[in-house]
Amino acid sequence: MSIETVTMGEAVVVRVVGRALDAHAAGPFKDAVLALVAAGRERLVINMKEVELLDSTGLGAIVTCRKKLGPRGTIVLCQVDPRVLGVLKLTRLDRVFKIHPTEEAAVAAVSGGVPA
Amino acid sequence: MRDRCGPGGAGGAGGARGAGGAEPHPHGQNSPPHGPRELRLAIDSRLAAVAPAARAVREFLVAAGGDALEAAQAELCVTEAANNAIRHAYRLQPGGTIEIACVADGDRVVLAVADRGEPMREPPRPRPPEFDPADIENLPEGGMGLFLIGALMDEVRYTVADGRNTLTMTRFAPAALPAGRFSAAD
Repeated sequence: MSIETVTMGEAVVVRVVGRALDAHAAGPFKDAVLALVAAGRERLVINMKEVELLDSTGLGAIVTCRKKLGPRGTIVLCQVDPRVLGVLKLTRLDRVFKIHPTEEAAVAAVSGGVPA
Repeated sequence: MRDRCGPGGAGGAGGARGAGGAEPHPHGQNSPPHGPRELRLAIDSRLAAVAPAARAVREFLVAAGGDALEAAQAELCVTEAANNAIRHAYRLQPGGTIEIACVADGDRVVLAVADRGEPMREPPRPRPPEFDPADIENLPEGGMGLFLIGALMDEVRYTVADGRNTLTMTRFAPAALPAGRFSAAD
């Protein structure tokens, strides 16, 4: 697993490169995203296109990043595989992370208004 | 415990193998078309070793004719169980062994993940995560693995016997029951 980040205006797209965001990959993923948060980025899109397996540790890592971001920031997901969507729904974390069909839609969504 | 095969198993009578297990069929390729198919793997207690093994379970189930989504869910359950064993039984120390078994017999899939580390203090009690999605500070970051296993599998058992801790996860295929029960396969 590796991470590719692309800045699009205010938004930063984090592309997860690799098929599993699991306990083994969660650490490097979290480090990369938290570095963006530390650098002041508040509007993050996580592109899950390649991810076929999201386990509870990978999910926990996304949650940790969301919490670190605080109420001012936002994290959305895009291009989520049905298997990964199943995990988000079971844990009900789909209520926390909005899911967009495309990267463009996700970037547009986070670049929109300022969250209250 | 159907079979125990560990080094130093002094009490092993030698004849304790499952009655149905004649010879292991590599990856089920030589299995009879209607017979049980079995995959057995052993990995070292490293998080990096889990993904290839869990993936092998998924591929085995697909090759055995299983549904792709259910095979992916089995992959996730094996991942969660093996990660738990590495974290809690072996406390993230390499050098321990985790044995993974997957048996597909037509109307059910049985996954077993066994370690010889420290047993869980109490049996797993999978609970759904409860949280307020608007309360960012209190979102759940952990403790979801056993819940996922419980939600995806029909039966989850944890047994501790002779220093071996086994999480056995079973999923029944109701749709397959009539065919399995009444076809000529029996």
